[in-house]
Amino acid sequence: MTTPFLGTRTLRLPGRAGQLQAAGATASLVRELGDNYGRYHEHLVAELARLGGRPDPADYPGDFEGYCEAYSAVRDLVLAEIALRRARGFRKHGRRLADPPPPDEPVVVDRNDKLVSVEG
Amino acid sequence: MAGAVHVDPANLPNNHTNDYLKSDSSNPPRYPNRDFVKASNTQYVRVWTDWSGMQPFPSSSFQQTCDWLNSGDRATRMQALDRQIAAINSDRNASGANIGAMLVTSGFPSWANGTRQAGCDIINNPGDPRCGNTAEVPTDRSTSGPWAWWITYLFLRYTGLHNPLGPGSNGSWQGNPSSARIDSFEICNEPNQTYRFNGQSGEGDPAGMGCVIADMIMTADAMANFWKSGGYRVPTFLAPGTSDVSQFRPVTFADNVLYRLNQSNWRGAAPWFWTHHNYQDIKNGQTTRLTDARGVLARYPWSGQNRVIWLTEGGYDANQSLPDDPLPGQPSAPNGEPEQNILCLGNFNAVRNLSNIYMWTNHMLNEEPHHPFETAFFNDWIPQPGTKAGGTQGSQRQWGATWRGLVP
Repeated sequence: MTTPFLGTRTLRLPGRAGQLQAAGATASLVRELGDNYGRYHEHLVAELARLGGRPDPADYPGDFEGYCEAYSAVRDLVLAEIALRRARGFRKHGRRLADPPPPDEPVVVDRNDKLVSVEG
Repeated sequence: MAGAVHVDPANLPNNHTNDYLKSDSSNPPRYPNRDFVKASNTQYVRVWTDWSGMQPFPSSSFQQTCDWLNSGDRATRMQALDRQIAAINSDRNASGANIGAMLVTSGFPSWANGTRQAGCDIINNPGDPRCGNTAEVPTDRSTSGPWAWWITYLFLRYTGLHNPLGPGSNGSWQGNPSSARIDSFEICNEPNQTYRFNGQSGEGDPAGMGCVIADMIMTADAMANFWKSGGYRVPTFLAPGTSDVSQFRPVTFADNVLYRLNQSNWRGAAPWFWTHHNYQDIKNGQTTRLTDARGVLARYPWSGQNRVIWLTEGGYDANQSLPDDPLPGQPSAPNGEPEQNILCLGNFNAVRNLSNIYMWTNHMLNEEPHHPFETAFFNDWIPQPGTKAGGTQGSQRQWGATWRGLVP
């Protein structure tokens, strides 16, 4: 299912966050993600590494739909990291979920297409 | 700096006042659109299409999107658009220069944004409020969703090649019956003013809307990247078309779009340029808000490209008889076409002296019938009670005559 807070298309989170996601329990999901940022961040990092970053069209000759699905999967991971950071900001710093991130926040994706931890 | 005009042909009947191919046999003659553009130094024409009007029913794949748009009354409408773009392709302006064709898409079908309610009958009752809000952004903005397929269909249709039906037919993924070609493609329009996200306007949540538009930019670019890598021609991509009217917080919105793109380490595969609408600057006799937009672009790299801005809409409402977003504490704006001429020309010349501005666009050649927002070069073709713009119906305004003589 798609949880509006996450905005992802098909991503299923692991563990308790996955259960809350499946149940559509957004408030509990925000708490779980915000209190355990590091655990879920590592999962997303591993998933992105498994996918190999943003897809290269050259790897999908004549397979537009395959390329689109691959790109969507990566997009979901990036959106999940953004949601994770918002949840952490809410739980640790009292920021509203709708607030823009602080200007000194590290980039979400680095030049090597790897997710960056907001905790350094 | 390129001078451009905006026309509004898609979904409209042939020979509508803003049909690029409009001809007119009135006596005395009123200016046909195409001839006006060719007699001026206009360098670009911006034409409009509306997804909500073109695809009232959902599709579940890119091929199905193509099949739907290539058949029935959708095909008829697409082919009307083809013919107008092909005419622009074949025209030269008074200086003998080719005229560029820009396509802009906006409007989202209610099936794609979740606003349609049970019982909606959009075909027989398009005004039914249960049929949703076409300003709400699509819920699925991914590369595997219907908005991405619509965008892809459009830029593949207008590669300039011939295809009797359109992309996804006759063994080809590109082309149209008129071999029409777009030079640039604006994927959204004034999201900070007119779009809604989860029912919240872009005005009320510029940060949220900024994230949405950044997402759409990255999706469109991923689509372009695939086809470009396969040797297909892709146009120059444009976004977001910020409205400069003050309460829509264009700087906050723009800042969030660019921040999100930068945070995602996004580098456009297609050429991308930032677009902005400068109505309020024109009305105020300033370039302040354009300068603000330039300031935002200076803070962030925009797709690794330069910081050139295309002004893809602008103009002065010569019919100031209706409220038009006056600034707090500012005197009401003057009325009528002399002021339109003075303010537009003044802004055009002021902007021409700024660096990194590629284009200045006038919104509309002719007024939309019965529409109160009168920014065009010609007065209404259809009598409209209450207008203060003056002049004979269909006659050229001072600003039209000035534009015709401009050398950008």
